Amino acid sequence: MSLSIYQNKKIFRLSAAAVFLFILASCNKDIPNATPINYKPLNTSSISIGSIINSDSNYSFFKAAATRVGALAGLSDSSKVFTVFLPDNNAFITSGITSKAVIAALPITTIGGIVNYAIIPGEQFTSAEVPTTFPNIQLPTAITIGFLPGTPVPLKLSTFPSKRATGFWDNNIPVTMPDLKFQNGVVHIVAGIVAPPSKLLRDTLYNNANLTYFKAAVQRADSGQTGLKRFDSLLNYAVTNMTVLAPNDAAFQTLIFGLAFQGYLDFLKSLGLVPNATDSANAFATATGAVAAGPVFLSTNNITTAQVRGIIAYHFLASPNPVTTAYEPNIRVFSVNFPATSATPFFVKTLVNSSFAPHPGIKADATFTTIAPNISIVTDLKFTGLGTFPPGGAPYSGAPATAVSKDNHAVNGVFYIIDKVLLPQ
Amino acid sequence: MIKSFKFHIFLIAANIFSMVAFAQNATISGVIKNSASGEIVPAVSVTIKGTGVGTYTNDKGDFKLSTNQSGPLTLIISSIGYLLQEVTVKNSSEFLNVELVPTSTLGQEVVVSATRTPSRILESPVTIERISAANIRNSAAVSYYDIVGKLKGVDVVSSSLTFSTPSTRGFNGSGNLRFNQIVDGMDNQAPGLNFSVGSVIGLTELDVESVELLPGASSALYGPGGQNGALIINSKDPFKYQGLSFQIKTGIMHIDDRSTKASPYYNWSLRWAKKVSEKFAFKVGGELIQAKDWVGDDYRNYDRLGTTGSPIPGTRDTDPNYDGINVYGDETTIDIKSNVLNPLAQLAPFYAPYVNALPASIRVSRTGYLEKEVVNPNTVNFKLSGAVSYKLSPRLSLNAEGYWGTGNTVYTGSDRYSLLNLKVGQYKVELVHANWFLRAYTTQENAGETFNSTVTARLFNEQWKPSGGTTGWYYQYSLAFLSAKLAGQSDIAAHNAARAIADVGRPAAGSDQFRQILDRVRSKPISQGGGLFFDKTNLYNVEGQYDLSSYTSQFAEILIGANYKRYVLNSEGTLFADSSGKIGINEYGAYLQASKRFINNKLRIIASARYDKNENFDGRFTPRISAVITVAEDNNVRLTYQQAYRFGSTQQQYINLRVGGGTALIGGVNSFRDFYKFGSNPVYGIDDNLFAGNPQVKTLPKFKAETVNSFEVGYKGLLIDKKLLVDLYGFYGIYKDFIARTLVTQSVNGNINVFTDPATVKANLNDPAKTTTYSVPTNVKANVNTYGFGIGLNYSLPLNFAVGVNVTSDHLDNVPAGFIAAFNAPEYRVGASFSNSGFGYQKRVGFNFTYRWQDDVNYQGDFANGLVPAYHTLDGQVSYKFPAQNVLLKLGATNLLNQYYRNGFGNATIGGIYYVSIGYNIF
Repeated sequence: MSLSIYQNKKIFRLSAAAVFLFILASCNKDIPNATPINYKPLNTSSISIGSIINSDSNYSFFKAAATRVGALAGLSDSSKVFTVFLPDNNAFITSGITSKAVIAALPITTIGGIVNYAIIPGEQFTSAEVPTTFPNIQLPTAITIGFLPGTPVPLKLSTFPSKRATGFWDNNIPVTMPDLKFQNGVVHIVAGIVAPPSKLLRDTLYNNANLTYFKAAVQRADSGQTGLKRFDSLLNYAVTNMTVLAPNDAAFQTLIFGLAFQGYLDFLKSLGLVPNATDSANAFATATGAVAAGPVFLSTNNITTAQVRGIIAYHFLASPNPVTTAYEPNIRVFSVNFPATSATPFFVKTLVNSSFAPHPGIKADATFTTIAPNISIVTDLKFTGLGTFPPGGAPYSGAPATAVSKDNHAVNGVFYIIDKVLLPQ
Repeated sequence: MIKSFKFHIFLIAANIFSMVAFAQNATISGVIKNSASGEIVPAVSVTIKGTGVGTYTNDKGDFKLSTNQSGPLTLIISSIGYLLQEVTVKNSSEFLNVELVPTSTLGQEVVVSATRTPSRILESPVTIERISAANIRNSAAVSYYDIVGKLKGVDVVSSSLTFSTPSTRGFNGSGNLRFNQIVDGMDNQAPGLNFSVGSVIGLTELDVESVELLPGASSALYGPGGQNGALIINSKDPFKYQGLSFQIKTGIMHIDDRSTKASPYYNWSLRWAKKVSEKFAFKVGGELIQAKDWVGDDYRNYDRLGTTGSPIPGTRDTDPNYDGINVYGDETTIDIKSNVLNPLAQLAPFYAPYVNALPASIRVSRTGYLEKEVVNPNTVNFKLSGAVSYKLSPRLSLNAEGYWGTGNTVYTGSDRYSLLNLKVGQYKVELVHANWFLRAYTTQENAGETFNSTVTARLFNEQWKPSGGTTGWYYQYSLAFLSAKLAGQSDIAAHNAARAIADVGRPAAGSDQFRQILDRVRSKPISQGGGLFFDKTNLYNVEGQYDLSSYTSQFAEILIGANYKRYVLNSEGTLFADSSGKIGINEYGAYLQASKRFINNKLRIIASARYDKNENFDGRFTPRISAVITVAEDNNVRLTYQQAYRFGSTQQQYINLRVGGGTALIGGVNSFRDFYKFGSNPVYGIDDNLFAGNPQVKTLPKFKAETVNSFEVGYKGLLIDKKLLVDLYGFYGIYKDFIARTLVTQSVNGNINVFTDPATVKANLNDPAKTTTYSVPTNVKANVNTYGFGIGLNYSLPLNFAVGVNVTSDHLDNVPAGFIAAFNAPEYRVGASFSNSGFGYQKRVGFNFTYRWQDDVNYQGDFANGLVPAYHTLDGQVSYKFPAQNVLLKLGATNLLNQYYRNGFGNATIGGIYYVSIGYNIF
């Protein structure tokens, strides 16, 4: 079939028009632009930590506290990240703050401390990210206490979460409900207020009327020492972590009595005499006199500086510096960080290891009491030293020291008051 | 034999030194016009039949011819696009008025480059394309180089407005090393920079007589390098094209450009040729282009590993390690975790657990500057050319020619280079006989104030605030980052807060402080810690060719030639390993071609062979054999087997340059391997084994020349009453010893442990204190294959209308994993054109529309790799002639639809240019 000239022209025009329209209608792809990275939401929740505190009546005490110190807005900021060890209302009540009226009445610095010490800024630590290794993880809170020298980096007061099979704690306070994930972080509900420390160990220990011998022992041990080799300086050094087992006065008196009594009898024996009943009575009187002398006894020649220094060093827990490997007083061990009594004894190193590395350290035994599933506290904590008194017993065979006061928290460490002086040999 | 040889030498000498005396006593004159439009026709060949005596019409269409022959005489009058005419002259005093009848040029063109001897394009033994001066005149392109990009099977990579690189059959890039560009017999590749400078320095548009494109291997005649094609550009003979010509184009560009405000485009060109006598003629020309350049504005984030990588999500605000493709200075990156925060945590152990809980590696890049802030946006290109020609005899000319150009432009190599005040000159002197030529030329390159934008921007950052040290940028950043984290910020918010603090004092782009520091850095040589790219590499070439056909025609048409080439590398250590002195590279070669016709001229066999030797490579012998079978009048089938090869470029031999991410680009000659102690401190391949912590020693064999064996079959013919020109081809190429770059890495301290932990391998690879990554040219062991086809149809419609369409395709096969082939050719491309060179009243109106579409390309280059999306362009122009005034007005546009596109990854974004031009005496 042949087409007429007219038809040919028509086809040509239609084809040309089609091609022209095709070209005009076609488009090059848009020049590709840089595309922002859409970071995966931290958590799937659309509610911020601040919002939940604001809206959930279980947290109304904390809300009142946070509102008072102006922290709620920050916790509501979705561009930020937090881990919060959040005391619910029961926790406040457990800690003795029984109403919002009390919160309103307390000094704002105290309230600010409670609120900001509960907050770890900038990172989300779920329970899975808290290590189970001894003793705990040191993390900064929202409390600024200064700046790193020569830098704009704030120095933050630390908190020490830990986790074991038996529970999850912030410092020594049990977490009752972990891993509540919100838009801008994670919340762990705690059983009580995790109170921030406000004083240094030195202040706290030295002002304790039951630790006058310990203070005297520290002073005797420091004689001839300088700088941070002085225990006194260590106790006053803010940026470190220490765990101090402070024997109370009774413990020192028991030790002094024993030392004086045994010393009197040993003196007679050195003269070739066999002590009789009168000698024993005289020894008792001597020992009683030594105790009566008070803490001053620790600065007399009845005991050497080296002996006192060794004893005090044995009461500072230590671990190796990761860089130098030298033992340093750099761990802050809360009672819940010690393992429960088991067939396999647990030893923790002390500053004795800084001069004698192979020393086995102190044996620690904690007794946990479960107050709810996966929630436990330590109800009994004992420490046993290597040496026995009088000397000659098998290692760690003596009666253990009991922590009569646990988890006394200071800015630079935690101390336990124990009822027996531990002997390193 | 010896006697015969001496005889030939004698003949040659006689040709050179004989001076034929003209006994001229009669002058024939006349004027030649177009029979259809009445306009005068310049540059028409007028010769006296049976003699070598002839001339050309001048710009007024007039001719004068002196002869001592007594009449009557027959003049042969010919010009492409017109029917040949013979005119009998009875009386020399008679003034001749000759009217030439226009005719279709389809298939009528004569090409030279296919065989180095003139032959009809229909009978070419290899695929060839030709652009005539008439094509240029009727084109919409703003530069004749852009017309090349519209030819069948051609791809163009545009680094910038005035820097475009055409390629055929793959391996496209800014500066294609497998594609020769020869201008008036001179290889116009800048010998040090390794790119062809044709679009920057070469001929001015008004001086181009023809552009011939040979897609496919061409080494057999043109020497090393032309594996994928050759572009042969010839200028206008001052004897033939005379008079004053000028063209003024003024346009507008950057309309709706996201990077640059709309701005003018200027292109002024001028040519003046004068035939002083029948023996002496000269020409001068100049061209000035001025505009705001196209800008590389791909701000996507780039995952850089050595010279490979790919775009990834991320912006400056969302990726602290953002490395924008066309953002410079942000290539500096370190891991602040291991370099700053971890050491800080050792000093402040109470923060160690907190710092440990941060990501294992926190890579942070310095804040960069956009290309448009670093690179001078004003592109200027000034070309100056001149030639003198003296006819020693009717068949022998002595020519001297020079092309000089300078300008600002941008080139994409291993990085983006701002070519500032680049100066390249090409100077030639030659004796050209009808049967032979002897030519010497030199290319004098001066990189001027060229600087590497990446290196410069990185050093700029170091100038205003050093990266290292306790007062350095990274320390400030890291402390600020930690502080922000301790204030509760998320990681990215903390990064942005940290950057704001570390960037305090950062000079704002364009400020006086910015300009002062930038000028200081870019003007200091790379070898002295700056960004200046010093390069005064030169090339010297001597060559000759003799067509022995007049002596051997009974046996075959034989052509012989030879050349000697010397490169003198001179970069003072800024580009090459020449800090201790210039490096010379000698290369020489010779070729022979024999051609014979059989079976009543229906079969023509052409065999060529060439031998070349470069001092750093073994000698290469390369053959070509082709057959042209005339299946019918104006219908030919061609079959070709040819081998082509290339020695590594001067950079592939001797480059010694640290690029963007810190990778060391080094040359392939053995001295580098000794200098960097590859023998005693081994290098390892960057591959899956390495990332698995199982490094494998990479043995680098001797660097060899690359060879391609190419098979091609084609058909070119006129059908349908000679109105349809059909051009078909298919090719298959097998590359042997394919030159590619491979990445290897070496421990700085000879410690293999930096590669054995899979968790840290990548971080270590990016840590210059631990490892050095080298990009080394090497030969791929396995063969790499290319194949493709092309179909072109051009139909001559009535009334000068013409329509054309073409489809071409290129493929690459068998590239081993880990090698960067940089093939960069789209799988398919389509072209179409619709034009008319003259219609309407006195055929004064013309137009031309050209459409091109190409498929997407997975683009690879030393600068950046990634997908270049498919794109199309439409160019168009409408023109109007004033024959009496010899003036041509044109209204045209390139990328008429103003749809912005990029034709090379990391290269400039190109939009439309809309212009008007007025031309006078445009041949």
